Amino acid sequence: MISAAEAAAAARSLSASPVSACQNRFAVEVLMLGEDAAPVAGVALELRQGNACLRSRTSAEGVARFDGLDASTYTLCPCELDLDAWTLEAEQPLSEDQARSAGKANWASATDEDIRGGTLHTAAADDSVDRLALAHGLFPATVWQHPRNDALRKARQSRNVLAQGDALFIPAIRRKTIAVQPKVRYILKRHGVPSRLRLRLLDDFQPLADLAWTLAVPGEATVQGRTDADGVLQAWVSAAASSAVLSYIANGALRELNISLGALLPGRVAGGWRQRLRNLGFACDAEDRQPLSAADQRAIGRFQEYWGLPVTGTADAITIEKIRSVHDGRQAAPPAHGKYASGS
Amino acid sequence: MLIIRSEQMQAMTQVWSDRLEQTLKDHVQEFFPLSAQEAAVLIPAARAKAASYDLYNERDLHRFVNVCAEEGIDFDLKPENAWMRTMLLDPAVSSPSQRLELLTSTREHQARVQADNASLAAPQWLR
Repeated sequence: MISAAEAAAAARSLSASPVSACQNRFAVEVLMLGEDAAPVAGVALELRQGNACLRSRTSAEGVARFDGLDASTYTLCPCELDLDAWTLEAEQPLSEDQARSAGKANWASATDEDIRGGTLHTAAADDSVDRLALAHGLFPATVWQHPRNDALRKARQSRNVLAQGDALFIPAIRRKTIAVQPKVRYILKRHGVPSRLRLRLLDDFQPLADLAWTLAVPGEATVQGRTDADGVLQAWVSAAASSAVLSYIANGALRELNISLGALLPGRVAGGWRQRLRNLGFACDAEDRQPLSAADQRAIGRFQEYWGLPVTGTADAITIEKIRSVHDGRQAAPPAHGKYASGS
Repeated sequence: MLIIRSEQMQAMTQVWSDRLEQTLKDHVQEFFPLSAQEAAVLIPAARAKAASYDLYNERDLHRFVNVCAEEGIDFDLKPENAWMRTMLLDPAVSSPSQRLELLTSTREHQARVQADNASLAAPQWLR
């Protein structure tokens, strides 16, 4: 038994003429690029004319195409993105072949969701502002700089650190549209996507300069590069990624480091200074415990000696602040003193 | 003026459908290691499943049976493929054909990424 839909498909196929199908029907293409100029997939787009709309998403190549359009003007909106999260970068005419459209437009009635308000989000252990902004279609700074996050911003100082239980206000998206016409490709830029990862690689406290590395993020394309003269590695990674494996060869041996992304705790809480101390190469215990273990005291003492602080082996306020500023700041090189100094 | 009666239209549709069925069977036998018997079982099931995703035209059916031949007819019921089902039913994409297009382009992209990552997994280039 042939269904009605199949019969319709058959009728279309039986009556199809390559000429009539293409006549006076055109396409609009949208290309969505990220901060790294690479395609951004999965961005929802809405093309409207009056109360009718067409919906699509960008493909893995960052492209969405609206087919079967009349030569008319439409409005385009990345309907799940806030106005700060994207801009129109360029318009390019499509070639005649690309502009012609054999497809049929599946127009539907447009609906306007109520997007007022916003939500107060209680941070989980592995939440980060970038990840939450990505999930809500927002530019990270729009979330972080929102007046309702003033107190949190003051307390945490860096957008890269949230503690479990932190209350973060996530504003509602504000839509904006652009006027578009068929036979044109519109190149949009998604702001804040992907995130930038910055690491400094040291070996025995010396920068690993001009070192080849690969960074493998599960489910994503492995990226590669070289560190700069200061041992700094910079890479673009999805804000949704929670882990990565960094590989490089130092002193003839392949090193593979597992990196947790977006899991850095505030520097002034116990878990936070431990994470930073370990990242800086001072091997304290991963688990927070009081009183401090011998390993903790040794690691803190070495850090204090290295940075010219009174060596007490205790996590006092000055030491914790120094750990935070060294780790989160951009101190290019360690001071040349003590037994860890360059050349000693 | 030529008038086509509904009986004639039905007969033409049946011919079209039968021919499409055979084309799809030939296609999967050419590109996948399937016997005639296996193709005869797969194609009607794939067409029925395609219909549940609003996919009827010949181009879509070719692409859909490719997915079924590669992943198995119940590909969309496997937990690891939940994203495929989500994509095929995505209300944010108006056209069923475009949903399938997005699915196939995502699968191709994933295959490319896997191949590229495999080539970078060897540490030789780090030296």
